[in-house]
Amino acid sequence: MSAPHRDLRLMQEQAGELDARLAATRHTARSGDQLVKATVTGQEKLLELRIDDRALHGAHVQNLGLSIVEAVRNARGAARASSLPHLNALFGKQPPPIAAPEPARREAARDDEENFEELDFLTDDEPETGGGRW
Amino acid sequence: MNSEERLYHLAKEIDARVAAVEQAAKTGESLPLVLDIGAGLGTVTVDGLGGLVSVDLARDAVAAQTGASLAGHVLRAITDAESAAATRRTSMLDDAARETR
Repeated sequence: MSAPHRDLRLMQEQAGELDARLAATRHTARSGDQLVKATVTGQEKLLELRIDDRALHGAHVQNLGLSIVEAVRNARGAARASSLPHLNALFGKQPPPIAAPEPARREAARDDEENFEELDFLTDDEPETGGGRW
Repeated sequence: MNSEERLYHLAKEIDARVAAVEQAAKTGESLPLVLDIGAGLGTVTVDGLGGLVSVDLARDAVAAQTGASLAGHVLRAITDAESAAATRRTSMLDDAARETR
């Protein structure tokens, strides 16, 4: 088997394992008023919704729809935050040609930082280079 | 038609198909989908990608529910709406790809 095929197959296996792991993971979050609780999988699929009986009475009922949306969004946000590093680790490495120019940009940024640090903020002297900045 | 002309027309056809599919994807993403919650309890709205946008409850109908029963109805409505939005989007993309053939 050639190297690209081997890499692709390995990546498919890893993606399958990650998918299974995410499907088995549970994330639970509540609404701000604590009356609604939502549970989602690591793939953000909504599994369970619990509504406190207190939410059906008094002033709470007016905001119940919002609380449901909030609990679901919070649970999905937690699932996304948890799965993102794994997904990035799996797919982020993939296209080497795109990653190649990055060090050049970082170099440029570092140069700027060095110039900035060299400026003396305690004197009125004009900097030697880039005089337009002051 | 010579081979160059055939290639030119083929490329134009591919461009048109890609544009139509992109347009269908945009339309599918921007169209919300509203679905009734069972037992006349209200509606849920999801965006074109299936994300939950809002839950609007009918106050009078909700008063007769327990938290558990209401949660069951709402959960079913949300999952149905999200699934319907995904199906609609797929179908729009398929239609767009088919129409330009």
